[in-house]
Amino acid sequence: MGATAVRPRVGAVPVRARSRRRFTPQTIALYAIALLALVILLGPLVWMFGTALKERTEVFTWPPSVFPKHPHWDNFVQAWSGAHFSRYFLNSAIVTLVSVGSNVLLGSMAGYGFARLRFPGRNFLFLVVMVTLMVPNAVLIVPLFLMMKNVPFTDPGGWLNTYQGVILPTAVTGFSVFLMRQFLQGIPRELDQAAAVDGANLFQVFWHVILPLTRPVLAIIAVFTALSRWNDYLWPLVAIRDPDLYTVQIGLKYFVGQHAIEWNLLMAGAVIAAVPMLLVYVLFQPLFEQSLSNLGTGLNE
Amino acid sequence: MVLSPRVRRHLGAYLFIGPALFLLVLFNIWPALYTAWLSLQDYGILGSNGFVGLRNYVHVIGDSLFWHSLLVTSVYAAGSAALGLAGALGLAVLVTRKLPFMGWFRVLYFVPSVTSLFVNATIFSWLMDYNLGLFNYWLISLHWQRVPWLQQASWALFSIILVGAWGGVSYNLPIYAAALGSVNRELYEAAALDGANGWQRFWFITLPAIAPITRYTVILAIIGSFQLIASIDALTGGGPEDATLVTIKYIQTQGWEFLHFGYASAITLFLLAFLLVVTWVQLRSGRE
Amino acid sequence: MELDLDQLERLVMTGRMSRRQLIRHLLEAGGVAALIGPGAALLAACGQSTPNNAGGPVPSGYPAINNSITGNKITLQVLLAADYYNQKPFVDLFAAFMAAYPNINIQVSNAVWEDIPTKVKTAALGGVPVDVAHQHAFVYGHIGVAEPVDDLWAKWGKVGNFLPNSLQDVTWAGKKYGIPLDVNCLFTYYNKDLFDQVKATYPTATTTYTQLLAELLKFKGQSVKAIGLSNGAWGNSGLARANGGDLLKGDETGVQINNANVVAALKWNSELGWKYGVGTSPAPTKRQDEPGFLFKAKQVGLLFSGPWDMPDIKTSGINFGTTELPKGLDGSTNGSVQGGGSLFVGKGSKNREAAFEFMKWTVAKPHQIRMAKEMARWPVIADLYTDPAQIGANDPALAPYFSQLKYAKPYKLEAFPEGDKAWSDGVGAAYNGTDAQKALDAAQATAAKAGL
Repeated sequence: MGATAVRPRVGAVPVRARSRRRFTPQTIALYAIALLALVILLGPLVWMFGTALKERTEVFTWPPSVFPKHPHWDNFVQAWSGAHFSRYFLNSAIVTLVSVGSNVLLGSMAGYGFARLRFPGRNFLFLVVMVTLMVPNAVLIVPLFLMMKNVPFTDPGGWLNTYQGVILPTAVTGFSVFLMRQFLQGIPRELDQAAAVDGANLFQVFWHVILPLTRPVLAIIAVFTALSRWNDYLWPLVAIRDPDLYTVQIGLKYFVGQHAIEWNLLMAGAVIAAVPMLLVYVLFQPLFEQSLSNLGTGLNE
Repeated sequence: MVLSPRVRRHLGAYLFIGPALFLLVLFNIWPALYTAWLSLQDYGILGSNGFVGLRNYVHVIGDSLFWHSLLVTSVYAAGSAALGLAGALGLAVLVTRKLPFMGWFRVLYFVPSVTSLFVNATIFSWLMDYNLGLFNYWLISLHWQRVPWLQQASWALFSIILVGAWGGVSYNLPIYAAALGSVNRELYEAAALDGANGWQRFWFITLPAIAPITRYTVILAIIGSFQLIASIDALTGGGPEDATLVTIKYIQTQGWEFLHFGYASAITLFLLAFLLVVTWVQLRSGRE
Repeated sequence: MELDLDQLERLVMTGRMSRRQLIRHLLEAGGVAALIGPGAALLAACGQSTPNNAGGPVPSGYPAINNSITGNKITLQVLLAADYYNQKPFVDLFAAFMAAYPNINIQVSNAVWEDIPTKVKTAALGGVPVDVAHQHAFVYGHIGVAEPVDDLWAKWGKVGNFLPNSLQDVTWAGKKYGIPLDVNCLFTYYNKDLFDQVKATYPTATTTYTQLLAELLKFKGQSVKAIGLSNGAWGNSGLARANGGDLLKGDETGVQINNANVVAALKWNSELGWKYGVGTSPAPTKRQDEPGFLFKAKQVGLLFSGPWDMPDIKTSGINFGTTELPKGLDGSTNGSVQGGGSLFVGKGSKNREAAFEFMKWTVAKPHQIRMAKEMARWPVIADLYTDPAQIGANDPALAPYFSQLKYAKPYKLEAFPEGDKAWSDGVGAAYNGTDAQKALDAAQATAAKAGL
């Protein structure tokens, strides 16, 4: 029970010699630990998948089961239509994609500005960015609602019930700016100074030199932003009234009734809802590898 | 318009940070200021009942449930961050070794971070169920006693820390794995020549080398813990008997259930202040 | 051109023909004479919305057209629970209503039951009230977010059609704030095979708490437990009502959480667990569906639950029986907690009458029958219960449920959220081993601090 605090055992064998693969007892122990960690981390999700395949009355039996006798694959079909996923996936995709785009672009621009450029008020403004990291979104629901309702020059209802109303509050997060700035602090200034000497202006330096260099960090910002926005619940719930604009997470909750939860369909829906994010992670993961190395050395405060 | 190069460069900087800063201030700082304004009023569902100055703040100071919630949140943050980050680091050490299939493990370990917190917590609420849950079934099969994971005050806080740590291991693993991969190999080789064993190399080389990353993840983990509400709602709802009442849940209760929006706003500002102090302390101590 | 007065009238009343068009039409059909004669009344009525027979067809059994809402274009914002809004009976209802009132457009939104309060409250705070919302109207009447509708009820005059206790769901401090939509209540399920195993007698409609205890104690030492316990606030309020315990003071101005009957009921129920050891450990707050699962898994002999568990219990093949809740400790009281929901009009809504009119349609007999047959949502119209077959409920297992319904009252403590929390905490403490009297005294003290 509980997370395993693994006591790391860096091998006693020097690095070069380790290139020969041997199934020493030590290696076997390592694989055992890795498997244990896999069971602990994935176990609950395996149970989720198993429950997604169960029939209504098989969901909670005694003794409990992980997998059903006969898998009911049609639960996934039922969950898809019951949660209106065909429409809601589209909405979530729009919200997520736009948010990822704005976070990556605007966040990286701001991170570059804070890391590289000197201007009056730089430290104070960066502090402001850090403060936004600490303000929890959940408590801002009421003011955000009022702001969206009272957007000037729009019809009554403002930007409530619109895509932009849902997207804007998290179009940029402090996380993106912070991450980019830290990373850039680890990249030598000589690179962009060289480009500047060649006559490039700020934006050209940013676009042609900095962005390619920081592709890994952009990948991280993209993935973590996508995860956050895809799994957002409270703001979309409050900001949207027209069900045609609802997002995947709101649809998923349809299986939570007043007195009873439809567990098998809820879990099936959760599996479906998780697939796009899993794909996103698998696609971007190779880019992570080189990235955070500079993040570490760049974090000086 | 003729601008001097110096002014033009500053203008460029402001243009770069401008859009992001504008959005952050508009949708984060401004609503936070609005919340501060609310905290000075007696504000119900039908609107304001007038300014009351600092009365809400005085109330908060005397509210034992608030201080209790702050303690709960701190314990939760410390516990889940410690367990989660230690676990993530340990696994990262394991996963960055050049062994076959470790790459697969690395990808799979991130899967818990892909599902929403609500879903994960709901799954655990059943696994930890006293009468029908899988965990207690295993315990009974081993002829041990059932454990009141989410029902008894003492166990409940521990259980949500476990769930938080579980998520933390998965979420922070890629960060630590990348950090470890960047440590200069020559340092290890030099240490090996000096006769340092594995444990010493880890303690004196690896850890210091990734210290900045560690600080970064600790800060973000703690900030994240203080904002967590979806899991608590799905697991315990703040109970039993307020054992898992984190401050943000208390804020929601005071605001959305009891409809004391002014008071809830005052609590929010206290929480924010507390979090700022905690973060500042961490940043300071890191400089040494 | 023929002068078809009826058709002209219809076109005028539904706003599809303007005054100028009407004059032209009349002149063409019958010349000036038509203007003075039959057309005069039409001309006078043009632009107003008072004459009869306005609007479209009304299916039989539904309220006649209400002429005061047939004029201008109206958009009704309706917020229903997620498991209601897209069910066939409601989909058809929206279509039928809009056919009858072509000037009204219904925009249906939905949310899961537990999220509707958040949406209603943000809408109220933000100044964009929902026209029709689906919750317990009395709660929102109390906090001032629901429109009082006594005048519309008086005009309607149908109070007598309703189950008396269903009206409780929309009444607070003597005023009405909505129309009830459906009801349900807590009653008793028991597993006959498990009872036979321990040679306990089945509970009946006259069994008291005291008698039941004797039977449940026969489960001591068995591998299965006697009862699946729940520490939910709502359910336990019903178990308290069975003993005649009311959590609110009679005039609904305050709470009496440590009322003697309430304490006694809680004591009886909670001690089944930690004192006598024949009840399962109550589930965590969020898993109030657990006792039902225990019963379906044949792990407990007795279950206090509602009709929503019946289909699954039947499918699980259990040899089960149903009866009313116990009649208190000494048999002199009869009560249960009423669930279901009601519809109310958000305060500040500009379409109060139209909203109320729509709500009337949801309690028309044909719709209530459809809700019962197709959605298993039980009617609030009293004479639909005289012959259960008409609502598709001739199952004898449902009979105790229907008789219990007459004595079930809503959980009105929900209107006092601090009281609700105090009661919930007190119940939780009692099931965890605290003496019921102590737990509820503490709860009453907490509620008193909040001014209740």
